Amino acid sequence: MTDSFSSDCLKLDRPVGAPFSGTSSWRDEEKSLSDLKKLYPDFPYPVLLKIDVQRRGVVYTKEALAAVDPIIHMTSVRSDYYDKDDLSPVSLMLDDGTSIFTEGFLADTGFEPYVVDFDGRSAYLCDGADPLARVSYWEKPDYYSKTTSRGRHMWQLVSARPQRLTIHPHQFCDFWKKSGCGCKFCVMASNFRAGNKEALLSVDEIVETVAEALKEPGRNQSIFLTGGTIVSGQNPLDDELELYLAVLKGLGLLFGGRKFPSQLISTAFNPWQIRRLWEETGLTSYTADIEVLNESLFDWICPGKSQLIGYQGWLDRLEAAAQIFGRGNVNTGIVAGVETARPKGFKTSEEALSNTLEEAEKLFRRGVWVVGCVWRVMEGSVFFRQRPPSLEYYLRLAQGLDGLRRKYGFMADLDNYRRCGNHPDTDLARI
Amino acid sequence: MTSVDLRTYPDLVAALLEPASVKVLGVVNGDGAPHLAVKNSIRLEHDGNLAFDELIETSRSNAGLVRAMWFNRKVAINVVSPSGQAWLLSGRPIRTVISGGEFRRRYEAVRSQDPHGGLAAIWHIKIDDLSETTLAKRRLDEETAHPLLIHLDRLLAEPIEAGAEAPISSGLPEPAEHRELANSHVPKGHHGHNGLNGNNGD
Repeated sequence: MTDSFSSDCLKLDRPVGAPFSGTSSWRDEEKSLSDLKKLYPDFPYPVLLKIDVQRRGVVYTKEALAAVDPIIHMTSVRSDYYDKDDLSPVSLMLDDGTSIFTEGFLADTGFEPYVVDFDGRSAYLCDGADPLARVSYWEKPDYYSKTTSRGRHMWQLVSARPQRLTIHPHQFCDFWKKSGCGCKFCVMASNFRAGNKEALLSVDEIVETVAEALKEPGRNQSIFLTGGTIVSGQNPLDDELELYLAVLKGLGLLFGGRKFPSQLISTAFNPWQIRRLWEETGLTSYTADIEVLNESLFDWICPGKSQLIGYQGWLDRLEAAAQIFGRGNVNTGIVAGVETARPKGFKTSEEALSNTLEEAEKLFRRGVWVVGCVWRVMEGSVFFRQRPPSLEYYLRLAQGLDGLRRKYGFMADLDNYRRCGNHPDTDLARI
Repeated sequence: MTSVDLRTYPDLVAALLEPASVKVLGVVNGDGAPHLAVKNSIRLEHDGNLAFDELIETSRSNAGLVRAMWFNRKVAINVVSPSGQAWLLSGRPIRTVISGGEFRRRYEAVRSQDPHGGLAAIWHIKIDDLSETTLAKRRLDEETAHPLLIHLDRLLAEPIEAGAEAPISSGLPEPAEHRELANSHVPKGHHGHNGLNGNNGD
């Protein structure tokens, strides 16, 4: 493949924002979980707790770690943004089935992380010493203990969520090859550089692994693909497209060439590329993450995407995808909260919320629905000295996005609580 | 919330184990309307709680259980044995299982019974209130506690034919313990109706 992405994003990959002092003053600056539970009695507490845990992170007591059974629980994961193979849980689940992603290494934002403790029978999420909710550790699928015919651990090729298979065929991103072009919240480059892994996975081994994973009854409801941008090709992004086409065609053989519940998050392909995905594969839904719903912030936070496609171009491509894949089968994700990043982000929550929801509504009108995930400020990202907005901000954003989804009549099926589980707004779609 | 250990109710345990029993789950919809659905997979778990297999992800029952769990609301379960013995239970969902070993075991059990079927979730429900609602028992309970709530014609010493002269009477019912009540003669285990007719005295 040749790299046709030659523009230089000019900005440097240096930290943005001053470091936090590490004090606990954040508790005085925002409403607490218990305050919000009383203020918003119609907002489900497990979803609120999930948001806060994702924002603040978790640590485990030695008793909680001793309760991990590596035969049963999922402790290994390899993705384009996270690698882990120790004896701590990959992620957590609340009793109501709400998943809480705890993957990754959160930066020191001054928040105290939640504590997972174990009382001899069950694990509990605690804020300090106060137990708030029982949690369980994700259980691992059968294929996690197996290797491919080439001897590679299958979990390194395909990772698992409670009901989904996740594939990252390209584990690096071309935007990070140019100084200052990577998305500022993203850790794909630092994760890749820290690990000893290949950028491109073998398509044959991916298909072999999925075939093995599908032997387990009742484990999977969806297959999900994503990965870093590959700019190169006859037309920009053609090589990225060809990679996904190869994987999807290989997987399609497992389903007799029929459509199968699946989602791709790629760089925003042009309509001809998207049509090929629809016509040549079993893919059922398409996503290209806009990341932040404001053009000038997009240009600042996602300079590579901005230069290659641009904000309006990205939105146009999403709309075209919705026309090809059908209404409801195309959405876009935002890293909710980065719109408040210093120094160029919105200064107030009200301003950030109203801008984001207004812009989201424009997309809903164009046939593209919007999902948010909590901005987890990660070590290794340009934004590692930032702090995400308040818990109330996330609550109101989740309510707002859920309200828009209902207003415009979109189902959350493709990104619901059990397929992805990383979107507080689609958690709300359960009722 | 005081939980009820269902294992201490042998007739109810027997009814829960009996495949021909009818088990109905009641939840509340988002608009406040009640929603009932037959859920014959409702079963007694080793911990004394109930569990059942929700087969439909988008069912109103499933949403109602999520709602109950999120907002601390109760759900109701009606169990009726083939002989007509019936119970009304209320409680709260305490856990749903959508993945992992327990899910797989039930998924395979469901699929073995219905090759076209699937499993959305397993729900665990802790029961905190229970009453027997078998018609004969409820009738006796009411006549004991509320002796005035009876139609007078049922208290007559002799049936009065239409158009016949009525016998002299005070018109007041006697205390229940002094009356001959048809229900008090119902032999144990016979309740005069088939539970499938739904005639339990809830």
